[in-house]
Amino acid sequence: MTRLGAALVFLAVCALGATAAVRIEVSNDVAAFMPDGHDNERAQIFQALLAGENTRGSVYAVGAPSAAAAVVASRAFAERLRRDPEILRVENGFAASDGEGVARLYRSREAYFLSDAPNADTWSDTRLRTAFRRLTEQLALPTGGLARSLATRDPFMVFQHRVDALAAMRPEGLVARDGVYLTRDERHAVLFVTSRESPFAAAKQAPLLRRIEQAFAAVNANQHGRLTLAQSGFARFAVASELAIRNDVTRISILSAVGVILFTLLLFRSVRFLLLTFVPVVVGMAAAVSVSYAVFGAVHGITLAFGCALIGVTEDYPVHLLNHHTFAGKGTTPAQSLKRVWIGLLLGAGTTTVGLLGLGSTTFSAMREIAVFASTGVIGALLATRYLVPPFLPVAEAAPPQARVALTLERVLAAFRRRPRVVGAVWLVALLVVAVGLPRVRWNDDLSRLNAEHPEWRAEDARVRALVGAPDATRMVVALGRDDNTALRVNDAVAEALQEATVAQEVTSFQSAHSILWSRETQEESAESARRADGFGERFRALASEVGFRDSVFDPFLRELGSPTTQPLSYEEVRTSPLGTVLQRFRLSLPQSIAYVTFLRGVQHSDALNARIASISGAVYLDQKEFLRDAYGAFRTRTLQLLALGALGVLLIALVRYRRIRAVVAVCFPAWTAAATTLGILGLVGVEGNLMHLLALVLVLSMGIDYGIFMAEHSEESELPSTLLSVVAATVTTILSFGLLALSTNPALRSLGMATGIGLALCMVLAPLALISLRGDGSRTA
Amino acid sequence: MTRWACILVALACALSLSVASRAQSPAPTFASVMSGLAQTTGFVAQFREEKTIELLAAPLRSEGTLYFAPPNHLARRITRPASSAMVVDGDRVRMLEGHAIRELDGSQDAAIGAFVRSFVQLLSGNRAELERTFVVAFTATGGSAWSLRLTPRDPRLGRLVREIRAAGAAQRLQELVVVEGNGDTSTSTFTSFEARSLRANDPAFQLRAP
Repeated sequence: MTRLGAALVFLAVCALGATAAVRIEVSNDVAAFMPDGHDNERAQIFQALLAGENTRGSVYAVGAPSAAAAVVASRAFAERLRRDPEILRVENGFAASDGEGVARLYRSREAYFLSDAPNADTWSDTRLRTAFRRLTEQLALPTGGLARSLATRDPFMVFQHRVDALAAMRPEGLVARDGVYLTRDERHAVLFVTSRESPFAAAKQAPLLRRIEQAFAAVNANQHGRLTLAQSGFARFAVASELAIRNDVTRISILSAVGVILFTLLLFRSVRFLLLTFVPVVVGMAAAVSVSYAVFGAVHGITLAFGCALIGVTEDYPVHLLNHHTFAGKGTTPAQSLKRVWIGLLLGAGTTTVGLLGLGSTTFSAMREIAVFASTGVIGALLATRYLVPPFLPVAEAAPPQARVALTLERVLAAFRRRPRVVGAVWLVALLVVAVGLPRVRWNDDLSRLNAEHPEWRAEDARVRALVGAPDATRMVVALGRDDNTALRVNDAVAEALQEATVAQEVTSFQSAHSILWSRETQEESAESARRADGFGERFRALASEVGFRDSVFDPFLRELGSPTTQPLSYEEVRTSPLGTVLQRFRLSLPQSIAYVTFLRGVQHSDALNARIASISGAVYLDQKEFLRDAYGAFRTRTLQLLALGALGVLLIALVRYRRIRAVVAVCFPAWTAAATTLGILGLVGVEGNLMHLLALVLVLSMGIDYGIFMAEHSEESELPSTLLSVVAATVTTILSFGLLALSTNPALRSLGMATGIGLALCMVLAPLALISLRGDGSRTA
Repeated sequence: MTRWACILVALACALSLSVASRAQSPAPTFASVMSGLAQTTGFVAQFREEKTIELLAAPLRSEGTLYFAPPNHLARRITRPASSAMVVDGDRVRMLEGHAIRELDGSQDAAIGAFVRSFVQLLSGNRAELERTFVVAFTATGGSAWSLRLTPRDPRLGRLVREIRAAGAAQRLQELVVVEGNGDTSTSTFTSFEARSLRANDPAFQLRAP
């Protein structure tokens, strides 16, 4: 390729990458670390929950010196928040019209809500007599006016039961004063704010959080600064996490770039070489961003950080080429130098890509993103090294300044050769660390450990939840159906089972859409069971009279029961009523189905509950924490299997290439030992292993194999100094990029950086030592 | 003057002084009754209630105890025919029905809230609030006896309570009649009135499910 052609291709790829970089969305959606929804129902439900209203909701507690001040502050704050276009809903209490709206919903539908599980005893004389006595007691209460006004149509107090059920759904810690939610101590007003966007859409959430703070500041100013604000919700954590990742990536990228530039300049003393080392990096990044945009449309912050770190990795290819070219001797053309290193580069990139693509076969979208992003970057960088760098290389001249460094490295290696016991001791120590440390590794699959820590916010979050008395929303039962009514039918069965579970003390209480709406079949069965009951009308009148009611007072009820003037209550009607927002909290729309979630309080016997729910077709018991632990445990196991599979793939590639066991060992053993030793060190120092450590090990293995390949491909005495220099340069630049991630405030990035840094440093040491160990006197083995 | 004449004169003087004294004792006014009620430190009273409900062929009768601690703590515990309880704590109204405690949020239903509050305002002698909520008709009915008729100003409350009639002597409430919007009437007669300093944390105001 000519220089002009190479320059044009480079510019075109850069333009493509820049366009994609501007358009691509950076997310920190935790769902990216979940197995895909295609795998099973639970994952779908989990992802829908993450996208649902419960996740988009935040609770704000406004502290005030008095109940009256809290009421005023709540109203003013809510009014300001409702004006914000990014806020879907603000609930700070009851509207006066809500009660009328709810009453309208159930009016003339009393027969449909008489009993959700009628049986032979439901309409017995005894039960009817009890119902009439209860009504009489209700009528006698000072507050019995409502019951008296409804009794002729609603002798079983259906409406009252619905109202009671709705009241029970309100968080336990809340009371309403003048229509405004207050905590029981009446010193905090409580507002439930639901945003339109996911809390993980940081671009919208960050300004929204600022506007909410400003709105509160204005309200507080009107109350002479006597108010306080505390909050609970995902948004703040997600925004902070996204910001931290962005800051870390920027900071580390700058540090990395500066370090790499300085190192390269010191090594080659040439600005042209410096620029050339960046060509594959830039092309790799541009390709990675473009392909990721085309495939995913958005990348996770972790993927982006990983991609930035690739800068250091792919720089190894031009560095390796430049090293060999400058050491090649006077008159060597760039094409000749490229030909000499190409197989090594191809093998190195190939094994790395194989390792990364192995990750792509997982069902975790973040891992697939990383696999696609990284392998595209590696391939792009390799191709750029192959086609775009050589046209700009000068014909090789005299030995460059880096020869001194290379010779020093050669001397160090020679010193090791003379001291086989020291080499043996290094291997022994490494294997000892593996033997002792590896069994001590404790894996922690808790997702929250990978998120940024904000102890003060977590404490505030817990405080607000305690004030409000919000249930622990991590355990739930989900009723699934192809449409709303089918799902509600399952939900009815779930509610019945949970009633029994409550009696059996398997669970303390639960919140269900069943308090609002039953399936059409359950409603019809409710009315039909009364109509079907033997002599219902006559017995009803007689027993009412016996208890003391005047004749015919309940005729309106009996007429409606006999000839209904209304249809059963439907989801659509509830959705458009004041109860619509309440119902939405329980409803999820999944790709193939509708789900109604029942939130559990005080689960005492998870296994028994699980067994009870398992017997209901279409119902799923879900413990979010347990689910995540299981999912991540499965992911970890899968990753380990893929690592083993990747290692086997690399082994086969090495066997095909070298056809000698010693060479294959020289290529593979250092990387494997380095990966195992890294884990052993983590075990010895008591750091819990997590997914990011495993991800780092994939990198260590991929790059460690590269080092082994470089050493094996160029083990002739004449090439050894430049090869050693390539390995050291690769390690230094990689540690400057990946290792610096250990400085990140994000635990996930920190884990990645730490394990990569340790692992690659070990690879750098072990790859040449493996060559020595296998060659003994230094004769060629590969 | 004979001895008898002296005795008669003395009796006449005593009688005239007594009459004069009686003539000078002012008849109760709304202000004086409210003022007297406002000074109470609490009381316990037995009550008997008769409720005439249109739906029922016969009136419902019940008995129980009323506890009051100013300014806004009230407990109404029915012991017969079946036990139930209602506790008012400011705006908060809780009821024990069977085995369940139910909280009625006064602010959810302005009319019920106003009704509950009005009873507490009457007992605590909160004249301003009573006059804000009701048209008040006060009558001194002889001696220290008085009667009061409260007619809601707010039509929403009027739909729930047509009028409240109270009768008492001095600072004691003796009878309370509530005529509801639909014509149902409850008449509570208070007996065994005992002044007692009660506090909000008194067990009488605690509600526990059995």
